[in-house]
Amino acid sequence: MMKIERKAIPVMEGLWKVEADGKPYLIGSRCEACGEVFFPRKKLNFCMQCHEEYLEEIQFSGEGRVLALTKVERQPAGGFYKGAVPYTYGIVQLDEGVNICSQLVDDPVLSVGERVKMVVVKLYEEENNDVMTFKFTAENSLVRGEG
Amino acid sequence: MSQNAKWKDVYVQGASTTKWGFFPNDSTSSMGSAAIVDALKDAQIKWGKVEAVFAGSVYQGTASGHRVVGEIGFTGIPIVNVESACSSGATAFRLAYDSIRLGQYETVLAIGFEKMPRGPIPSTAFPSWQLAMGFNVQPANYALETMEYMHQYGATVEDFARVSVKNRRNGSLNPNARFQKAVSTEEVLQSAMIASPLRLLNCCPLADGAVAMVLTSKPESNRAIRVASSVLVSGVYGEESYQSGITASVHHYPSKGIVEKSAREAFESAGYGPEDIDIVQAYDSMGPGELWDIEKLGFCARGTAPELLREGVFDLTGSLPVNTDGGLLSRGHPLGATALAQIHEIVSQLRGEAGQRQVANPKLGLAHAMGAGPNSAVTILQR
Ligand SMILES: [Zn+2]
Repeated sequence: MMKIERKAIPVMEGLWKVEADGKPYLIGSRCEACGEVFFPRKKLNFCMQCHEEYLEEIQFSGEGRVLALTKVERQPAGGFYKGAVPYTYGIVQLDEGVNICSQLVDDPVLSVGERVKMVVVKLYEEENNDVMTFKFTAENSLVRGEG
Repeated sequence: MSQNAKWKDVYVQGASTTKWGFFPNDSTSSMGSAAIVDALKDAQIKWGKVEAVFAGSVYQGTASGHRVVGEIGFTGIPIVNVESACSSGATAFRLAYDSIRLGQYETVLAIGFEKMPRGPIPSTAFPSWQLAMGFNVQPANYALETMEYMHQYGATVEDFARVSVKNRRNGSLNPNARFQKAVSTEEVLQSAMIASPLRLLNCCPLADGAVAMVLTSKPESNRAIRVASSVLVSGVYGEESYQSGITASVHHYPSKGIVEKSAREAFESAGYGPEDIDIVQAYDSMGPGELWDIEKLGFCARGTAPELLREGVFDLTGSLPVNTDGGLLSRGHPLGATALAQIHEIVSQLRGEAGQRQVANPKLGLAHAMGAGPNSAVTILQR
């Protein structure tokens, strides 16, 4: 019997990268004309604030704090979400001043204002693949990223 | 904006709504066409007088307005189908209003209808990776803004429960509402958790139904209600718009958002201010949203709506009754029709035809709808 190797694939290409030492970071864009910063990275070289065409790729530190969070108790409509339920998501303000929506690892339980760090973990399994996502977890959490 | 002497005054001459609820045996074309026939009767005009139809819906597919009008009979007039999520009805109204105001037509129809699809609903309002991460949960997106609101202003879950209690009480007086039963604060606080801190009775139910309105520059009855302004704002750069599932992942945020901008434009265009308004239909798809909506529309300072609610200011007998028909929380939320249903309630109140829930002598009313996108639509009506 041939052994099929499991593959880890990102939920979407280009949201994050992992450094040589294993530390993940989010990828965004910055406008060299006005200083605006975007997440995710904008494929189209066009700044939504100043409408110029000077966008460059940047990396975020992957650290920030929780602005708001909610625990979803029921399966979302539409069948798009294949992860575990209940799940927690919220708004994380990255240290670069950008607010992003992210799932949160809420063990230990997180609260508004708390410092969090980014990890890359499994969102769900599909055929022979592990579909991976970024999440944020408490700064002192022992949750280790898997990729 | 209101000073252009060439612009015509626009009036709602006739208005009609179906009941709101789950009607598995009715099609949108049967509900929509029934609403049109009743609106024509209410306006006391013949179908042949209508020069254009603006039709709002969200999930009804291609040429849905044509299917509705087809039941009435094609007469060669243009039928314009519009979709702007939960503000679709107000967008249809706005187009109808403009077409008359600018002198293109004398009499037109604005309609909104919806029949919520069963099973998986294809979503185009979120990018696919956000759908995969489960960010398309509307109560959860409201819960995020709710958390910020609680954190900033000290609002509590009891405050949010009071919104449901008030609106369900109003809804118990509305024979067209999906839910016509009052609820207690305890019932709200003990209902099932949907997305913390929001529970089932903090969330509006969906509904099927239709609403139709005849707009004209030549009103032929003293029941006609003047449209003082109709405004649609679709997005403000950089705003966090949680209720639309949108996080502004940018560095530069605006000081004022989409609701404030739409309200400012509507008041400017109407020549009135918040202090002149007698009744409001606020956007209460989730209970807490009604509170910050009232604040963002300019009726009171940020963070003060919960206290005013406790004092009874927003009750039917208060100084600023809000969601007199029970709001989305009682009436139900037929996505593409919702905003026109709100306008319908203002028309009923200004005509003095709101039955048991009639407010004493209102002269000016405002309706506000939000929609994914985001969209914010404000309509001001005057007796
Ligand atoms: Zn720029």
